[in-house]
Amino acid sequence: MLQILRISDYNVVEYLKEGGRKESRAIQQLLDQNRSKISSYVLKNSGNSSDAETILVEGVTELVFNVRKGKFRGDSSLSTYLFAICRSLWLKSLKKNKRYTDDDGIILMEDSADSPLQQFNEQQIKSEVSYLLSSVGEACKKVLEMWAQHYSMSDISVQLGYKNSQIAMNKKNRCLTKLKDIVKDSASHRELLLSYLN
Amino acid sequence: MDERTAKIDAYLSDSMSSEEKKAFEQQLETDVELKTEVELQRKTFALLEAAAYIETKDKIHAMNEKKSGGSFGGTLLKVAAVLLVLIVPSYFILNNQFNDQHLFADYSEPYPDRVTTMGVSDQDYVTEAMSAYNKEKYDEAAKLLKKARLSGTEYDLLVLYEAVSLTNSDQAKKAIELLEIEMKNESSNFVSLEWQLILSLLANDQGDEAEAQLEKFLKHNDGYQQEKAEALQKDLNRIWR
Repeated sequence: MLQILRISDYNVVEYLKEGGRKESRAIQQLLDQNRSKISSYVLKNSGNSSDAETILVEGVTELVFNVRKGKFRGDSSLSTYLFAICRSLWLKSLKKNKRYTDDDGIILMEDSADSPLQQFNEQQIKSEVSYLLSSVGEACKKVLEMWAQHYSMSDISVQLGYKNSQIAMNKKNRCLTKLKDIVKDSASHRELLLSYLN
Repeated sequence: MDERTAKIDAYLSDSMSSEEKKAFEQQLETDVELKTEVELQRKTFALLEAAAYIETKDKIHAMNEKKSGGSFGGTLLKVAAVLLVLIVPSYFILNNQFNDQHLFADYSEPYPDRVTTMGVSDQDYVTEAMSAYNKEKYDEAAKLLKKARLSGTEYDLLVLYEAVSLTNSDQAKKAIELLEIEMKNESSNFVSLEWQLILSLLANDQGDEAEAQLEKFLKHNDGYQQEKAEALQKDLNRIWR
């Protein structure tokens, strides 16, 4: 009786775009199905179990974002795609820590360079965004958060209960204008933004 | 103002047509204020996106911690895991790892015996089956109820008892198939069958399908298992989060 139903790659992609409970289930499957493969790769390449865990989590996060952005085109299986992302992240980490000698001909993936995390301090970003979003009201906060997660307007309208995606889009634009005004009016926020994002 | 934001967003997300993009870029060359606003919007979004990325990563990290126990690969951890499996009662394992089945255990309640009490049938198979059912010998009950069904006993409630018996004897998949066929026949017990289908889906770890069925159930339900159904819907939304 204790069998877990495997979700197909097609459905995993759909669930990641949709969000909610199904998304969590898809993420759980990605973690479970790829844990040993990623772990084995990292351990064989100068890493420890903690490195492997970090790479798996970052790899799945990047996969989720790439799927929602439409960057995953389905040319390979999700496992192959995730492995390529994780390998790239790990090689980059080794290079950064000067533990890697570039002699096996593995090419880094371009996508990994896009990861916003690699440029900023996580705590600073979290507190800054949390402060900014607390100034725009709860409804705006939710819309902007989902928009930044790259959910489609259609999924945002379903999840937040707007009648259609156009109404969700209008709401997002109103909220974004509000947020920009807050940033514009505050010299400290502007400076912080510039320091993070230049 | 919102229109301007929308236009900048279309430009930054590359969703303008080539003509629109060309016109917008020409405007950017001469309009310093617009150029500043595009930059501000780009950076504002980049900051929101970075925060969203961190939030997603934290959520995935928490899910991974829960499953892997904090790290993977360590021999000590493997030994600890084996010990845990040996020591911790199976209820605890079910509770933590098989949420759909845990919900099944919480919400499942064998349908009461209305056959024996109402004296509906004196057929041997059925009497024997209901006796096994009442003693919670579900495997035996399922076999006997199947025999009764195949021998042509026309009492559609028996299908419900068979489904309950199958589900409670680790044969939820068979129960689902049986219920789905029976529900197509406009049974007078449709609502009871549907509720059982939801439970059988949970027992079979098909939480998503159970959730979808539950939504339908709540739309047309006339009060049968109403409170339980609403509570289950809340629980289904909570798990995996």
